[in-house]
Amino acid sequence: MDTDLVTRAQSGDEEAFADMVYAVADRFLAVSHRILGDLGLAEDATQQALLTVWQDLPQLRDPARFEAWSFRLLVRACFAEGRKSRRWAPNLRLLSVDEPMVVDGTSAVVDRDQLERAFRHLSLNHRTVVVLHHYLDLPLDRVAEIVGAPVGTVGSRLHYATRQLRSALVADARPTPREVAQ
Amino acid sequence: MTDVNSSDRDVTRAIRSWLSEDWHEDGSRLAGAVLDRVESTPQGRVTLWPARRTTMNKILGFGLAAAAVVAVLFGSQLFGAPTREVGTGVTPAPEPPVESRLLPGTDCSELEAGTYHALVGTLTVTVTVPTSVSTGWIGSADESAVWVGDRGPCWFGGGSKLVVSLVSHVYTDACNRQHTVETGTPAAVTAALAAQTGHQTTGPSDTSLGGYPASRFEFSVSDSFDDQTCTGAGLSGGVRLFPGNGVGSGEFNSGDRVTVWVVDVNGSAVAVATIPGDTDLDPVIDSLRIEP
Repeated sequence: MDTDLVTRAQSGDEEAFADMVYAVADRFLAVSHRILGDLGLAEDATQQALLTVWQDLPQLRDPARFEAWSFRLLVRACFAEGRKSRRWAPNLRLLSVDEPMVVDGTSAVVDRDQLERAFRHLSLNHRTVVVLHHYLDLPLDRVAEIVGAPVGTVGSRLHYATRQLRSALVADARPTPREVAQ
Repeated sequence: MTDVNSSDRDVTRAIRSWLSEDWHEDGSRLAGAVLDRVESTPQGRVTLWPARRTTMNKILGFGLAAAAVVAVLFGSQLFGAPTREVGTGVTPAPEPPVESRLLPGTDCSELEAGTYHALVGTLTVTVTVPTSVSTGWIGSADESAVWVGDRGPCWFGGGSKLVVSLVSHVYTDACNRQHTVETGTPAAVTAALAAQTGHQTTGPSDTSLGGYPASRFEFSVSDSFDDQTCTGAGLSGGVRLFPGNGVGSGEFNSGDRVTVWVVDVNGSAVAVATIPGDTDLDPVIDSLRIEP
């Protein structure tokens, strides 16, 4: 983000802020959609985050840090929306993360729905780290800056999330007792 | 898409592929809606506050304190009503302001702008979250510490924080939580922190905070230092100045530069720590009152 644009918006220049909003809105919505898994919630979170950016901009001391700062506000807004919503109803059969990955010798193919279901089973904390790292391609230290956790913690969350996804995918692919009986 | 019998790397590849698909969002429509609301949404301006925490000449400080006492007495007699000296501590009132609310005793409590108080040991700590802060402030208190900060959601660390802690022991090494020294007085806390290893130290320097005499330190740990290697650091890493719960222990991470005042509140040692982030903490520090 152009720091001059940020500085102008900090001083109340609405045109500069409009340019900023159009520059980041798509990205904000994409990130919040992936974290929350619900477009309606993501739109609410994005709107709230952008308004908060406008309100709190004068408090940003270093315009060069706008990106990390604004994503931090977005993540907060996502968590606020996530807390409001009770639409998280994961219905997965989880295996221990240490369970062997071979499923009765059957090669199960993961499709988009499986991934989405597995992803929803993760906590918001874990989803956030996965999205920031794997979608935005941010290195772990930048993710740590955004979520406000030590780099080691972010690495642990990413590792845990990956293992949980793997386990959830295996569990989801395993036939249910009813399917076996049939 | 991928075979789940495969490795974490394959799962990662599947996740990256899935995340990069077109999820059919339209941010431009949202942008218009946001900009429609901007006109009616004022920006939160940062109030400029006088620097009150600089080292003060003792004679000048005494003179100002005496002048304030005279002014209070004169005002009381003239207007017939008691007055409150916010932040000076010259004549600390025994109770928090009427409009203050009890700071929640559990983590994850979101705070609106306003004044909050909590009992820490036998001290009443009062602090104001300024109106220039619009969202995301959280805070909590337990029997030995009070903290407020701008970082939400609550389970994330980092962010701007102000922490007020009672101190009775200090670690000899901030990166090794096995050995402490007992510190019965504010002077002993100051001496123990000055001798503490495990970080870079600037100070102490004599100053005042909230009307009480204080010693001011700055502590930092370089970015390159892995604070997860500290003894007892756990997953969140961090060095700690003294025993306590979480941030109440003066905990900070590599790359942080924290300011700590050891405040002598009528003989009790109180540590006030600020960990900087994006939010200017000066108004919060200036609002701080500690009352016996």
